[in-house]
Amino acid sequence: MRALLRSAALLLPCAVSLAGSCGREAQVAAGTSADLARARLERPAQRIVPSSARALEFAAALVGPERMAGLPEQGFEYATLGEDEQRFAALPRFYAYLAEPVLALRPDLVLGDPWQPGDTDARLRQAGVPVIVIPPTLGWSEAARVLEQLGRLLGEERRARQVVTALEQRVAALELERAHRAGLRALPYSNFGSQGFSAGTGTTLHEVLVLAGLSNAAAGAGHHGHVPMGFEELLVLDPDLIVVSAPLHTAAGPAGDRGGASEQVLLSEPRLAGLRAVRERRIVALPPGLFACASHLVVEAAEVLGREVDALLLPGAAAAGEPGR
Amino acid sequence: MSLTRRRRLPAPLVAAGLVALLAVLVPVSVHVGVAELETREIVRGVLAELGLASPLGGAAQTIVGLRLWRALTAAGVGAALALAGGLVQGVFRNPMAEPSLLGVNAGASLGAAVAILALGGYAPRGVLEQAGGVATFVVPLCAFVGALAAVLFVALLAAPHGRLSTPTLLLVGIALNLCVAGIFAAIQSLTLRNWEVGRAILAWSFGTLDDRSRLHAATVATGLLLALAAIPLVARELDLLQGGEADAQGLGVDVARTRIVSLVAAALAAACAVSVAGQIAFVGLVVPHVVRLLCGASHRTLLWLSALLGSVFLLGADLAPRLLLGEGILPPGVTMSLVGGPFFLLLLVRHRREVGAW
Repeated sequence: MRALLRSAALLLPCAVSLAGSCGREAQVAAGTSADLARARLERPAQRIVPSSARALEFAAALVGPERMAGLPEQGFEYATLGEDEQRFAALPRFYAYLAEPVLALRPDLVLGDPWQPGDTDARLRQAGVPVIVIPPTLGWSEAARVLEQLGRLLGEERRARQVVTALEQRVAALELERAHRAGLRALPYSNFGSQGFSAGTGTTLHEVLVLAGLSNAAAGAGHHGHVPMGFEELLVLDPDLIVVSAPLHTAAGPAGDRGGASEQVLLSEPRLAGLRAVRERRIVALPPGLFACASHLVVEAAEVLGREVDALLLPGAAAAGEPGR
Repeated sequence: MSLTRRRRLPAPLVAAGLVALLAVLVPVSVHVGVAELETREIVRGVLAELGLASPLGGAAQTIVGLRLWRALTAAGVGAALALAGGLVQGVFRNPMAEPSLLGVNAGASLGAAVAILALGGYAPRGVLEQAGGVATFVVPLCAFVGALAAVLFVALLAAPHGRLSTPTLLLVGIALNLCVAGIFAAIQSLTLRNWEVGRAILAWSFGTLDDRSRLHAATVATGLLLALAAIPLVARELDLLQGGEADAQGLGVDVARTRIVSLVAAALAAACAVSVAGQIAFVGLVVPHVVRLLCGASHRTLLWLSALLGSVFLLGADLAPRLLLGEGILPPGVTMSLVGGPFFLLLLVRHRREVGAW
């Protein structure tokens, strides 16, 4: 009993201190809402730290590197930053989204991501740093809404409106040109020698395919999310074309720079030689950043995919307006 | 582990039952899949795979081949792992021993991870062009080389002067497992940034029987046959060894030879199995125990029956989720872990008295 009381006496101050720290966190968090739609900042952020590739892509669409304090290493590898890439490359980077390396950048705003650890968000808020989590987006319209909300948060409403308008025009152009790809069945595929995977509904890859005017063969087979896919199902689906990712690391030479291991597996596996996409070399390699993108860049991914598909399958069809099949 | 003379069921009866189960499970496994094929087509396709009929048209022959080699690989892997488990438990005289103690799983994991990294573009320029053409065989090949290298490393450290010390072997095995687990974790941590490569490594560590080929089945069959061939050379000796090393030597057992033959056989069988199917837990640990409870602890029956029951076990673990949940939902390694652990606990609780005598 005495031991129990002694333990309680030791634990009590710890519990009080923990409760105090929770209260402090709530106090700091009350200054702003973690919800992007309702969040407001007292001053426009000048030292923004995106926590992921998609947070970086959203932020980079609205502000330049001069308003960012640092980038996640992985985010920089995967993010598609276009012409500004060199300017962003000069920014300091952190390897993992942990409180200490992020705090070392002295941010005045962290753009969180639901896929990043919530613990880090909580610690940063506890340290007085506003963390606004960018909600998950699948299609381009959800991404456009995020851009508008982020524009309001960063004081860049006009820029956000311009970006969204440009996106709307690009989507309208995609809608016009995708008619000639209607009916083409595409399958996202990935295989690094251990097991094959594909992506069904509820993935950004599915949205990219649909935006490009292609039908997703995996979704047609009832798959949702990223799913394992064996050779048997691949043979049963027999898609018109297969979409793979170019490797993230490009040291593997010319073939690797194109479709990487996934393309090599498809082309070299004798049991897949009967696939239409393999027989007719209809394998499209998307850059890894676009293959994995989860931001407004789904539109760019669809444009790149559309161009690749047209070049591969329909050299004259785009101009002549012929049907895909 | 003392030798239990009492047998619950006659070994030939159990063997016949297991063979009959295998004869049912293999055709059922070949029948289950995404593609709808008629039984007549499947039979002809299987005969064609064995060179006894003309192949089916279109993709049907490939599909039947994929299913047949998957079923045979599953049966072979289960048999090889269970037999390796029985041998290792006999040598260590410890019912908790399993092939991973020899470093087989750790070495195979490392080999597979290195291959996946190379295929993922981390190797020097040109490697992918060479390896990519045979990508589906590169991972098992590297896993096999890794498994054998790990076993050799453990054996060399455990027998510095040519005399194999069982406790040293056990400790070196554990140490190597820890070292490799650290390297493997580091690779996984570093490849978290490259989600496709990270996912491929993770998928291998769950164990997979998807897309197996004739070569995969032949690989595991080779390891299994070599290990089966060792049974007559060590079974009686392992029985005598259970009473203690000194007693066994007194009865004329060449203990060193018995250990070496048993461990080489176990290592080969496990290396072949793990390299073609990835990490499949519990088969090597649980199956010999089930056989002991069914038919007693004599290695003369234990090893043969473990191989048979291992086949049935893994084939069932591969088939059940495919029938109940659909293709690709649960990898066999995960099924084995989900089912094997609780099943093992249940066995231990229900047979406390017999287990106490081991």
